[in-house]
Order: sequence, then structure tokens, then C-alpha cells
Amino acid sequence: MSDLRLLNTCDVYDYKVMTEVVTPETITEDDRGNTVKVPAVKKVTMKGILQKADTLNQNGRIYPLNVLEREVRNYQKFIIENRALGELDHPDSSVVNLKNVSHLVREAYIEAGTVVGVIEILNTPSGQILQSLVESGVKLGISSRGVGSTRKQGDYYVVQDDFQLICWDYVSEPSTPGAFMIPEGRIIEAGDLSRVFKQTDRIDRVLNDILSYKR
Amino acid sequence: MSNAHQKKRNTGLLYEFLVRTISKALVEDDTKKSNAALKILRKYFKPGTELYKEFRLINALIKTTVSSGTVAASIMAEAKAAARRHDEKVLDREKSLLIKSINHVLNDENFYDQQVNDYRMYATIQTLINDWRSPDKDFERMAKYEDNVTTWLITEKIEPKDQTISEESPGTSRLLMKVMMKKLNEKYSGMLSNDQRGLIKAYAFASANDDESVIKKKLIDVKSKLICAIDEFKLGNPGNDYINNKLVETRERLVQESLDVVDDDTVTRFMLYIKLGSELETGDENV
Repeated sequence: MSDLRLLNTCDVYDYKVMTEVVTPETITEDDRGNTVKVPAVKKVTMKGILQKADTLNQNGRIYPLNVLEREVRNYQKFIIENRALGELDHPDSSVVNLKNVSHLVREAYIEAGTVVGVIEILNTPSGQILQSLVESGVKLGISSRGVGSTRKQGDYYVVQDDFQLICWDYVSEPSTPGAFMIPEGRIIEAGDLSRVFKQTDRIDRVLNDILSYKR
Repeated sequence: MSNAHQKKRNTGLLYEFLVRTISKALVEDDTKKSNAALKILRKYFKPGTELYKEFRLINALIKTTVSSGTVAASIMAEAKAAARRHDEKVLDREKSLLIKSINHVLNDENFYDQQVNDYRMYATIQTLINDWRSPDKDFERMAKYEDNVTTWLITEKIEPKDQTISEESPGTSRLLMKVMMKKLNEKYSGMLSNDQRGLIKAYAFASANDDESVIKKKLIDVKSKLICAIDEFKLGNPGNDYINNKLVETRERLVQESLDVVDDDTVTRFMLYIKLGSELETGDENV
């Protein structure tokens, strides 16, 4: 059995922004009778391609469609439980660090060989930076974080069936193909994985395998 | 007087040793060795060679079963005549070249120590054939061996497919099974649990022995244990609808599992059931 390693990807994030005003801008008076503007509360969501299957990505890796389909299916539990969090910039860890969380994945599904996602930017310190970047039109990169092994096939590496998706993070946009060649990360032990996937996640994963098994 | 039996010069055994070497090399993915042994087999046991003629004669005496002593006696007479028609000098030279090739090309010190079923009968037949040809025969031994082979010819042979392979089986069957299990354990160590490996092992033995009783017992056991584990988990986690709904569906599938046919698909599904059972029993703190 190959060692499981932290696998990060990096691709240009192609997306559309949708802004919903939750509370409009209001004008009120403070204790001294001065007029005060209370800015509108907005919910910024983005819809875009999170990952492409069967395509050579910027890291020289290919994620087979069947692997991504399965991982998107398993990720639904995280979405339903409002745990589908991501960070701004890549950490060298399999655990999502709440201090750096910037967004929440609301929807993820496969469409024409790509993973499409609807992402809500959170009102956290990292989320505010992300929102500012988005509103300024800064080009972003999107990066999946997961654990698994790869096998070399010619000039590229194919991600194997043992891959488990952890989350999608936002990173700087890779301007040059290959410029963001992130090597395979450190070896992930079973103990590390148990911090990411709790018992019901693991049960859900097996249940999905059983219920999608075609006789 | 003729010399005693030499397994290195027994045509039937040399053929069996080569066949076993090819099988073992194939299982161990040693293409180089299997090709080399196959090349030797094809070269020296080519139709028309004296070795091939002697092999055919030995093979016929080993494999044939006849209904009466009279028929067996007439076969023995035919076999004796056929053995005497062989060109002994050419046969001896071919045999020496074959042994030289085996020693030099295969260079396997255990080659002549491989276990062959009916080894004693191979030895008896080769010694008898040598005696038939020899001008200085051991008549007492020849008479005894002719009687042994005649009795063998009228004895019902046990077909290999009826032999039960188990971890205690002798010879190549056990070797093949051991090699397969070792490769399986190496490849999937850490990925498969002991229960999953046990299921595969039971399936492999069931296929080899054409007896599904052990594997079916295991599958029934997995099924009943998992049904209990699902029910217990649901009782302990009543609020988790997302998982519980899927567990209900899985339980229904499990109940409907018919074990009339046990094939690759059945074993694959039950491997998943075993994994589910293991996850249901393992709490977060025990990972």
C-alpha cells in the first residue's frame, strides 16, 4: 500500500459573483444625536469551477472523474452539516484551521466533467480579505486539499483511488502554467485523518460505496 | 543388474518438475523464469523426440484406468514392446542435455525437490521401463513392479479437482495458495482488515475446492452481525437522520442478499459490509 500524502492542487478560479443584500444600508442617530451610517450587510457568494476531472492540472496531476465523483458525493455530508469550510491560502495541514477559514461551500456537484461549486464568503478576518479581493476583481486560484497517493504515468501523476477530499481553499492565481507545482506534502497518518473525518463521516463514506455499488 | 531409481533421470518427474516451475514462476510474476522453463519444456518434449515418446508412455501408464486385470495385462505387454522400440542411446543423450539445460538455465537448487503427486508410481514405472530395456535385468524386481503397475492400472484415480486444498495440503496447491495469500497481504496490508482478508481467503479456498460451505457460513455471520450493529447504532444515535436513512436502505439491501450464488460481486459487497460493521463499532476515540 502506498503512503497517503497531503495532495494540494492549484488552478485558475473561473467564477461569477452574486451579492445579496441581507440588511440594506441604514442611517441612524447615535447617543449624541449625530447621524450615523450603518453599512449594508451583504452575503457574497461565488459560483464557479472548483476542479476539473481527467485534466492535467497546474501541479502535473490528473484527478480521474470517478474519484472526484465519489469525493463530491462524500462531501455532501459536510455541506449539509455546514462543515464544508475552506481557508485563504494553503496550510501544510490536513486539518482545516478555524482561525484562517474564509468561506463555506454551499453546493458542490459534477457537471460535464468538472466540479462546480457555490461558495459563500464568511464574515471572518480571512473572509473579509477574500471579499475585498473579489470586489477588487483580483484573479484567484482555487485549490483542493486532500490525502491520497499518486502513480506516475508518463510525464504526469494520476491520483489513485485512495484519495479523500478535505476541502477547497483559495490561493493566489497561478499566472504561469507549472509555476505552482506544489510537491506532494507530508505523509498523513491514520491519527491525522481521524481529526478530519469523524466516525459518522467514515460511516457515510462506506454507506455511499454500498448504496452506489452497481450489481 | 539395473541401477536404482534416479529422480533426475525420470522422464515423467522431469516433465512434472518443469510444469510446476512454470506455474510457480507465473504466480510469482517471474516472467523470465517461466519463459525459460517453458522454452526448455517445448524444446526437449517436442513430438518426435525419444524423450517425448517415453513421456507419452509413462503418462499413459500413470493416467489410464482400465476395468479388468486382463485389459491391464495386455496394456503392460504393449507398453513393454513400445519401451523396447525406443532408441535408448538417443534417449539417454536427450535426457542428459535436458538435465544440463535445467541446471544451467534455471539454476534452481530446489528444482528436483518439488513434491509430485504419485511420486512412487512415477519411480516404479521409470524403473520398470529401464528394466524392460536392460540386458542385465533384475527379474524379481521387474515381476514385482509389473504387478504393482498392473494393480495401479485397474485402480480408480483421484482427479485433482476432487482434492481439497487447505493450508495443510501438500505440494504445489498449498504453495500456490500461500504465494497468492502472501502477495495479497503485502499489497493490501493496512487497507484490508483481518476480517476482510479472512473472507478473501475463504473465497479462494472455496473456489479451489469447489465447496462453498465455509464461505457461506462466513457471509451469513457477517450479515447477522451487521444487522445487529446497524440496529444498535440507530438506537444510540436517533437524531442522525442523514446517516440513519442510509443505514435503513443498506439494512434492506443486506436482508435481501441471497447467498445462492457466491461470486466476485458477492465478496466485493460483503467486503464493504465488513468495513461498515467495523466503522459502526469503532468510536472516534478508537481510530
